[in-house]
Amino acid sequence: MAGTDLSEPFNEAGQVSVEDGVVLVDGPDGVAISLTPAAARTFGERLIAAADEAQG
Amino acid sequence: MQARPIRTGLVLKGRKIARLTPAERARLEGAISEVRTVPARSILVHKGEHLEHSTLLLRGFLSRAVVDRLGQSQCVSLHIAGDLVDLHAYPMKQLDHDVVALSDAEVAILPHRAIKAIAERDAELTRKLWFATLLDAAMHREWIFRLGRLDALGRVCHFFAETGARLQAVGIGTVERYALPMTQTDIGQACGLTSVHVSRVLKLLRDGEICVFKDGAVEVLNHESLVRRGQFDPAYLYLDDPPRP
Repeated sequence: MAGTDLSEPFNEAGQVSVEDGVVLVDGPDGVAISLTPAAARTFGERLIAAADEAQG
Repeated sequence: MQARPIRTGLVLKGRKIARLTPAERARLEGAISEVRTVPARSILVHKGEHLEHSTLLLRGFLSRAVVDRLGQSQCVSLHIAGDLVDLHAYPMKQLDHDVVALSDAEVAILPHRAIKAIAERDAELTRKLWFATLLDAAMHREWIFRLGRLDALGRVCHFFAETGARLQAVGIGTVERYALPMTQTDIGQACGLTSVHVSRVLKLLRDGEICVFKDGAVEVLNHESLVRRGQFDPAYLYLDDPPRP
């Protein structure tokens, strides 16, 4: 039913929003998580570091 | 002598492929040993408990719940009136999950010896009971799809669309409006979301004039959008008259 090929990495970023002091991440695909601001900040830093490493 | 009320009237209702004949319904009625009331938020069946009976839900809502090592519950299925909630306990003799009452409920008890008698004497009724269990399996597959492939909004849309379709099939609601005695936390446990995430999704649904969940009731304002956003295809429910957007 979904049109995404899970054998390939996503080339679209998920959506991020804030609700009651919580950071919500939606997508891509089945991603749906809630993070405290501190966890979101650390998560973001790790994503950026990993993206830098992946790009060489 | 006063006739006993029919307690199996909703079993497999709306599914021609497994519709019970009057004789089969009478046989299933005869298999019921007692009717119990279950208070809201109580556990009807505990994981691992030895079972010599299965349960038919007559009124109310039940869920199957799996609890993680921290005690957090995940709702892995929702049951409505007419559902044979734990027929799989007949061959398995225990459940690998709890059965929890979401609302005050009434259940009929089917002793396994009575189910065994049906299995030995009535192949066609046995096939229909097997169908009921396979219907559970089909819904479990769809719930895996929901959690694996849909975002938060899609998951809640799919859950509301599925529940409405099931309730409409047994005549205790419509896809546009039905009672759902669940909290935002309950919906989160069914959709793999925190309650704050559910709150956000409900706001988006309300602002988008797709659906309103309030005071234990779901009102669908735009069924087509709900179905499309939730990628809901009712084929897996095997309904005679599936809801069309």
